[in-house]
This record gives sequence, structure tokens and C-alpha cells, in this order.
Amino acid sequence: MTCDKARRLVSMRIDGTISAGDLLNLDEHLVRCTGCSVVASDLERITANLRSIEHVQASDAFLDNVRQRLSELPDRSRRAPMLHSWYRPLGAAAVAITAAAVLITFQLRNTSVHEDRAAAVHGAIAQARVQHMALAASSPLEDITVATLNGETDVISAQDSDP
Amino acid sequence: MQAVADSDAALVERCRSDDHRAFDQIVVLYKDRVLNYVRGMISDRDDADDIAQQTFVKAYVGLRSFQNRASLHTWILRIATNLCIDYRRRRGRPDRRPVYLGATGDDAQAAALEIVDTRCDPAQAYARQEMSLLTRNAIEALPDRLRTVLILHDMEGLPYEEIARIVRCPLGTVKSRLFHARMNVREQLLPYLRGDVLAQDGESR
Repeated sequence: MTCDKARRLVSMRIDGTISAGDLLNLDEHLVRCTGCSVVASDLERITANLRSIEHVQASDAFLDNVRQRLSELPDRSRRAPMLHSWYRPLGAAAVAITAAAVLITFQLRNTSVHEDRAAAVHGAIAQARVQHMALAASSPLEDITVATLNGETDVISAQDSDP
Repeated sequence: MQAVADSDAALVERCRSDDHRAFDQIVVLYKDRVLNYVRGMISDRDDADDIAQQTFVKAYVGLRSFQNRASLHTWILRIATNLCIDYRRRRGRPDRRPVYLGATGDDAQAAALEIVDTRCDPAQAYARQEMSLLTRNAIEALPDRLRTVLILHDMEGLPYEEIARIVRCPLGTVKSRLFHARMNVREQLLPYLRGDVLAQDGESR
């Protein structure tokens, strides 16, 4: 038997929960092992000391103080209707369904707004591109190019996709 | 035990029917045990008393959902345990006040840890009381999971099974925590154990 095992058994012996076989083995170990024997003696003394601490008694005012605190509770806490066990999952399901519905509505609305905005931007760019082609044809030194505009289109699309 | 459980169940039913006297009876039945336990867990006497009262307020509010799966005593002590641990977390590490009885005269702790001593030798009575206060400080320094089990078992006298239900862990874990708690307290008290107080006490038996 290891010393660790022996010391755990000492703790169980103090509580009276050790088996007869373990008790026999422990006694044999304690005869041979001075270290465990000292530990056993210390633990017994500490436990006896703890058990000898006198229990306090609550004062007569204790009940009055509790009553006072209860009287200060809001009515809902004091007289909460009893929630039957079948009712609670139903309530949780209702909350989950409502939350899901709100989330989906929000997403749809968000998608719709997003699509409207994207269509408007693309329309404006297409119109600008036509105007630019006319401008480029009439003034070849203008530094705005179709390529730049196409790049801007990509940039706007990318920005628009951000949440 | 069955009779107690039956009477608890009847009291709970009466409480659910808004019979306030039934809840008074529950408070009267369990107030001493709850107060003892909470005072073991929390060194500040006023705060401990406050939490003991809060335990019953929480029990009252939650009583309608109590389903008799655990005994009322176990359930109330579980509420007290949660409140104590919550209190200690809010306060950070425990206020470890050095205790030297007589030198500081900490009446609150001394009164809470008064030793039943039928002998008349004042020196021995003093030594035993001092040892108890040192033990109390050692318990105060334990982690919550060890201190809870040690107090419930060695000071409140609860069996392993009930402690397992209160702290919601397997029986083997309770035994293991109890062992480690005792070894931890011993480690802290070694200078005193090897020095004088308990040795003298042991010789006098």
C-alpha cells in the first residue's frame, strides 16, 4: 500500500466509512510507516477539533428579519404563478420562434434595402459611363477613363456588400 | 428521515397555497443549520447573517419550482452554498485576518468558535480555543470546492451522499475533496501541531 492510499484511507477511517479489509491493511501500514502514523494522528486531532466547535443558534430576530425582507419583495416575486414543468419548454419554444421570426424579417428587409441600393448605384454608374464615353470621344486628354470607372464600380460593389 | 421528508413536502405544499405560517415553520426548522453553515463559510459575522437570511428569501421565491427531487434541507443548503460562493467571488480572496485571541480580542470570531469545554483549566481552555481559531483561519484559506465539503462534513455532520447532492458532484469526488481539505488544513497547522497546542492537549487525555 502506498502512503497516499494509506492517508486517504485514514480520512475514511475517521468518517467510519472504511471497509474491514482496508482497515486491516491500513493498520499494518501504519505500524510500519511513521510518516503516515503521524499524519493519521494529526488528521484525527484536527477533525475532532472541528467537530467540537459549538453550533450557534439564530437569534429570535432572525425570523422577523426574513419576514421583513419577504414583505419588501415586489409582488411578482412574492406571488409568482406556478410554472408547470410542461409550460416551461413551451415558453422557451415561443421565445425561440419569435426571435427567429424577428431575425428573418430583419435579414429580408436588409437584403431588400441592399439590393435597391446596389441597383441605384449600378444605374448611376452606367449612366456616368455613357456620359464619360461621350466626353472621352470629345476630349481625349480627360484623365477619367472607362477602366477607372469600371474599377470604381468594383469598389462600390465591394463596399456595399459590407455589413 | 422519511417523516421529516413527508413533513417538508407538506410544508412546501402549504407554502404554495400561500400559507405564510408554513414558510415560517421552514425558517424555524432550518435557520440554525443554515446560519452555522454560512458562518463557517464566511468570516464576517454580519455578512454571514445577511446571507443566511437571503438564503430563505431565495428559497421562498424559488419554492414554487421546488420539485422534491432533493430534500428541502439539501435544497436550502445548496442555495446557501451558491450565495456564499457568489459572495466570496464578489469580495475576491477572503479577508484573512490574523487571529490571536486576547491580543486582538476579535469577539465576533471568538464567539462564533466558542469551544465546549467542560474542564476548568483556563490555560488548556485558552489553548484549545486558540487552536480552533487557527483552524478557522486555515479553513478560510481553502479553495471554495474544498472548504464547502469540509464544513458540510466535519462541522455540519452531513453524510457524503447529501454533500454530493448539494455540491452536485460524484460521491468519490466528495471523499477526495474532503481528504485534500483535511490535508491542506494540516499543512497549514503543522507549526502548531508540531509545536505545542494540540500536543499538550493530547497528552492531557
